Amino acid sequence: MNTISVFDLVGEYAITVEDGQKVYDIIKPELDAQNPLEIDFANVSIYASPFFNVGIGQLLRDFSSDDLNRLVNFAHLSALGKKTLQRVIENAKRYYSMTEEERRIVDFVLNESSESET
Amino acid sequence: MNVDRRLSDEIVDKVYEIYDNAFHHANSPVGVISCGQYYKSKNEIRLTVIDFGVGIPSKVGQFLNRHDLSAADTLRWAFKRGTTTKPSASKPGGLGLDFLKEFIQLNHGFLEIYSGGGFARIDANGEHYFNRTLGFGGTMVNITLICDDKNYRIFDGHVDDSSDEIAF
Repeated sequence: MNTISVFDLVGEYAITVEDGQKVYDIIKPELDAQNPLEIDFANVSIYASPFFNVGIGQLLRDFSSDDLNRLVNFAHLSALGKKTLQRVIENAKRYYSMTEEERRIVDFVLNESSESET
Repeated sequence: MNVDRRLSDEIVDKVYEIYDNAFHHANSPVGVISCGQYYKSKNEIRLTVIDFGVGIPSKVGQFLNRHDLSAADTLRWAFKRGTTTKPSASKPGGLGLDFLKEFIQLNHGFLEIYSGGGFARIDANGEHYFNRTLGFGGTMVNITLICDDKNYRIFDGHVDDSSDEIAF
């Protein structure tokens, strides 16, 4: 199993979209070749959802959940990182199950009337 | 200033989204202005981020092609989990403000946003969205966080710290 060190790719802060893309660009060809991977977060201390959305969430466009569960393992994720990543994965699954039109539906958000201030 | 390391990491993590939005969404002609202060007697951090860009109501109205929406409703949409106006349509997003909102509420701090004709205040008592007659030509975000780890919990749900198992 190959190991990818996130710290070696992006350093201590895993927060930006650009750094997420760097990780995705390394992971994607390995998974295309059906190579099992360990994604190692040792020495990474700060995580933010833009990084995970692009680095990991995007994989759900390309691969099934079953394939990702079979091929990808995570190591040394902090409790906060796990919580953030798990929610990013749930959001990505929802995102890719919707059409572009459905993503723009607003009615579900706007049930309550707004208060007004003058 | 003495802040628990986990709390400071979480503050950076959650507040980053505000800067990400200001730099990547706002199209501000003069960049982003930010200032902050630690108030020792109250043990609070207050942070302000201002841009003079298009504002959330305009951005969201354009993205949704719903120019009939009130400014308050566009802010409510922007704070809903999973909503984003980011152009990278093939990549998921839109969790940052939701995470920030949740963190502010657990922390017992508060967040205020003035953007275009809208105003939002989020605190432990809930979310309040208003239309204002006097608009702001951009977006101003004020965040107040309590620097006491007794006053906050990282998790609203159970996370198993002993395993790196993540389910896709």
